Amino acid sequence: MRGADRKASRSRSTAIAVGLLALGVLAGCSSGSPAPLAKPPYTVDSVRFGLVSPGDLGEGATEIKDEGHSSHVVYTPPNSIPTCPYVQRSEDVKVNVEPAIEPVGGNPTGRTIVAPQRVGPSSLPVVTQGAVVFQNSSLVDDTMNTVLAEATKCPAAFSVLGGPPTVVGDYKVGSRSIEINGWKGFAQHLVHTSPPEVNPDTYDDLVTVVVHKANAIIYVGYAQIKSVGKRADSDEKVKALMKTTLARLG
Amino acid sequence: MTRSMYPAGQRWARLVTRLAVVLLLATGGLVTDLASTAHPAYAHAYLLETSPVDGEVLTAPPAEVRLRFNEAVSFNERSIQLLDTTAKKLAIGTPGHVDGKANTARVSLPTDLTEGTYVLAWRVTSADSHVVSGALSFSIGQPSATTAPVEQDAHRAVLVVDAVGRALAFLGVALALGGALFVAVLWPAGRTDRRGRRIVWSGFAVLAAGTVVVLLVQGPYAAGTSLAGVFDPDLLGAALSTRLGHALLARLVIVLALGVAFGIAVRPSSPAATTGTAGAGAAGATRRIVLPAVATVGAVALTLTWTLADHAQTGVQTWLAVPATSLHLLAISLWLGGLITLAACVLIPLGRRATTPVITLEPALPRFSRLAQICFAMIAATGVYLSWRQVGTWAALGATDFGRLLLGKLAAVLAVVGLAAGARRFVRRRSREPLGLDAVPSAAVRRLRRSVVGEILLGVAVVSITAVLVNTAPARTSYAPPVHTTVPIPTNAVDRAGPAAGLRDGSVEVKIEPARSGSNVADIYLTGPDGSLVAVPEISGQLESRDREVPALPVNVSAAEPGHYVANSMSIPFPGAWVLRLDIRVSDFDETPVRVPFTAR
Repeated sequence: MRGADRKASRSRSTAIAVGLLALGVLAGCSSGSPAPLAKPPYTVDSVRFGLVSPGDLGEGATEIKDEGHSSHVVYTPPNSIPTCPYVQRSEDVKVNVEPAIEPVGGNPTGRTIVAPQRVGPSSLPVVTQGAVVFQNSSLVDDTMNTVLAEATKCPAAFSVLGGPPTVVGDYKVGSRSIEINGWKGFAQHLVHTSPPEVNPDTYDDLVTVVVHKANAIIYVGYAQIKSVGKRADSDEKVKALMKTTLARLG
Repeated sequence: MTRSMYPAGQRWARLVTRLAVVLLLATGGLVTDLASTAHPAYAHAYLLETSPVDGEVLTAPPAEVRLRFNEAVSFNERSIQLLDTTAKKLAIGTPGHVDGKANTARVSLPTDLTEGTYVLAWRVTSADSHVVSGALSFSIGQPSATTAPVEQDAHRAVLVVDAVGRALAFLGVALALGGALFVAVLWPAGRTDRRGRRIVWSGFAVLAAGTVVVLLVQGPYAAGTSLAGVFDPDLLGAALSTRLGHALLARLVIVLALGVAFGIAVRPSSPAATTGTAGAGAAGATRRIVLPAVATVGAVALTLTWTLADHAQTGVQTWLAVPATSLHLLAISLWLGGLITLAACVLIPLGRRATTPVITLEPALPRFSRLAQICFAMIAATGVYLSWRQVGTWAALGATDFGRLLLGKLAAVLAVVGLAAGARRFVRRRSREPLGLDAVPSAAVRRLRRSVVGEILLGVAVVSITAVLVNTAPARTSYAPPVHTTVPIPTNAVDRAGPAAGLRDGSVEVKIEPARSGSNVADIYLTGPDGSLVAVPEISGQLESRDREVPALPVNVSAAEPGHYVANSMSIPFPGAWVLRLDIRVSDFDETPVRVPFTAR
């Protein structure tokens, strides 16, 4: 359709070109991600699609139900949402801050741990996770606000002087806001270094992500053991992992 | 003028001259921008300082809060809110300017504020009619946990209605100006054609309706409320008091004046006019001189009601941007409005030639074709300049919403140009034939009609994209690539036997996100020559501006993993060139400074 005196074939070619251009624009606007497995409002069962499975983590990972609350990295009461892990064991924290918030009015999925059989500097990370589903989004907002307020109080640095050797040492905390597939919240990075006489070679690289969307809150603790001198990368890894898992929730 | 009238050498000369003009315009703009020594201007207002400062702990309640912005802002009594620890809104005074300065805001606070942390949320309208918002917190006595969620985003429905209103206004101005020019000037039969007049009147009506919609929505948009606020008298009054409100009101008045002028222009001539009396002479003078003058002034003034209240009058080179944007809008309006009227009044009826034998392509089509050529030249020249002005860098095209929308618009415009070029060739070739355009076969007219309809659809798509584009932050301001730079540690700054011996011949790697005014996160990695991280006893930071009047700002740096340090809330007051100065203590006694220059958008 370039001009009235052009041959029809040329007009058709132009029309096809314009059509292809439009299709290209439409294709560029569409998303290539797969269809989600669940959509809001979430239930206790459907929200589990957004949690990390052993397959997500990698070969050799297994999933166990967290029955206790003293032997894993998040170190908070069961069914609670972490706000400042390990702080309860510190002796030098001046502010009154809770390590976790136990949600009111929500239905928890329980806490699960996805981890390799043996944990070390070269192993898969340890993921400690759970979710809480509420009747409506206003309850979620209230709970999330409480979690955020408590997490904001988490000190930038604290020490644990007594207790199991694995938790003794210095803790450095930093927090950043995060948004993944419409889930909004924060990623709290915690680095634990042991006293030099206990362990001068490695440190714990832990990121706690708490995000909410619609009527659900999901929390994920992602822990690795890293060699001193190597960069912490739990932050990037957990974001990449949750981009995959949260895409299943729509 | 046909191609055959000029020899090849002369055509080349004309082409070179045109390119030189475009290059001159672009180069002139770049040079002027580079030569500017003032602080860079950015499209949206940003906060320069507050009193009390964000996060300040006070011993007693402050009497008032003051905000200072980089440019004039407007607001209403709901623009500033004070929230307590439970996110409850507290009664405060009526916001006003400090000493009448348009770039400031102040609000008095209650005297009975109890101990704890408070959040002051603000939401003001920039000079380009876009709303910017933010919040600051301060504490009295002891800080406390706050749950105040500061909802700053405008309601989606408000944004959608606003975009629809702007699109209607764009479409209306095209139909009104382009249609009127075609009916009253280009097409001799237009003044007596009912359909043509209806199109133009529809244009005026759509333009007025779109303007009213934008005016009504501006109140809720500025206040961050829902669509229910469109008929709130306070919000409407506040909207009318802004620069955009004035522009919209002026637009309605101009629409009325242009409507009257068009009505006179297409009014059938009185019998006296045809008999050549003195009265007819006066009427003729009115039609020949007064009406064109009123229409020209009105059309220019109409476009200024957009360009004096949008992105054009903020940012760099406003002196050139306002006329360039006005010309751009005028050219698009004349082309699209004329094209729609041409299609509706000439081409479509001509396709049904059996029922409307009186309509011909001469002289409307060749006249419009020449007008379209001039319009496209203006659109191209001003479009290139405005794109550069609003985007700034190639990378911003793909990395920002504005850039992506602009690419979409460009694709649509290129498709239009392709179709228009074909139509132009058709007109020129057929005009050269002995029987002219009126001897064109029906099949050829139908093909031309399809081509023109394609142009119209693409033109409407361009208008729709533009309506969203004018409500999107320009890429030049929104594009802020993260800073990622590495600076070597000064030689001999580190003792071979000290605790940071691994840093000898090492470097400091700094990442700053988002590298723009406001809160930023800086990651600082101290690396040895082998790339491994090296911990040091202490590191502290300061932010230094090139402006000597701005004092160095402290940056709170805390440790992450060994060798990695983070400034989680590094606040950059305004865009421009900055230096992050890091004082790295490498032993109990020695400290070495490292300066990391960067640019904040």
